[in-house]
Amino acid sequence: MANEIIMLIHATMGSGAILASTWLLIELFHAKDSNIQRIKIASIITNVFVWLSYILGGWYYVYEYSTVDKYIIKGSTELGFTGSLWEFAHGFFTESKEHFFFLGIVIALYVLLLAYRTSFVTDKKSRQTMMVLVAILLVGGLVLEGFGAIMAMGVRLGMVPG
Amino acid sequence: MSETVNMDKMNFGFGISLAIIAIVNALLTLGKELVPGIKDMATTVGSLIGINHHWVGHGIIILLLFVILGFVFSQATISNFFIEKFGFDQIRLLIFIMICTIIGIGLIGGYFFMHTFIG
Repeated sequence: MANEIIMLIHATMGSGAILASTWLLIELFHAKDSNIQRIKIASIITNVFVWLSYILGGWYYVYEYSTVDKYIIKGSTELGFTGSLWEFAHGFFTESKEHFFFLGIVIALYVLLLAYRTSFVTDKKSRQTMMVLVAILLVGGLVLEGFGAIMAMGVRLGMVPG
Repeated sequence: MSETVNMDKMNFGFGISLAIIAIVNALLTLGKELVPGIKDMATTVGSLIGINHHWVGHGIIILLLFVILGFVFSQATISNFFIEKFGFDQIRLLIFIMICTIIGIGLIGGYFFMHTFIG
């Protein structure tokens, strides 16, 4: 049961990262002296959500997905599963998601660095850089949420009696 | 002194590091799939924190490399050399990051797409 709850929190943290990225992007669109602090706080919160999603998702992936879910999707004679109708849920979506995720983490860290090291209110180029990278985080987060949903459906279809 | 040399060194260093990591992440992913020894190496790195899993080792390698490369490229002599030599400013750095990110995502996504849907 604990792993299932971890998975739900992982997905929730991912949604939190998307919301925080949206907030950060809006603040950057309206960057001025009065919201510098909010932009820095939004950068920190985005990182917290991204990191929590990474750690919790990683936990589930290593201790549950890799030992059970993967074999439900791919099929396992030992576990008595014949394989999911959506076997591609692992082959493409899981494999891609687990490796795309690393980019999200380093992009989030770099955005945090930009928030604290650049004068993004007066320096338009720094602000534009932050906005593009945050937009990548936002869109990437949505895509990865979708990938997660497909993975979950892959597991579900793997448990349907053939 | 040109405008570009005034660019914050850590901003430049970690920006370059991010771009390199996008490519290294893709190469490490493909390497793990194609060369068993690389997957074993990643598993060994993961075992350093007590988790024998290649994905954990992969994450450690990526994060450590990001920090190390970030500080290396933040050194004034190195960053000034690259900024002057290639005329980096913030937008060129962003474009470089974007190109590397697209290549990295394309390599990972492309490989698993081919592997899964085409065979």
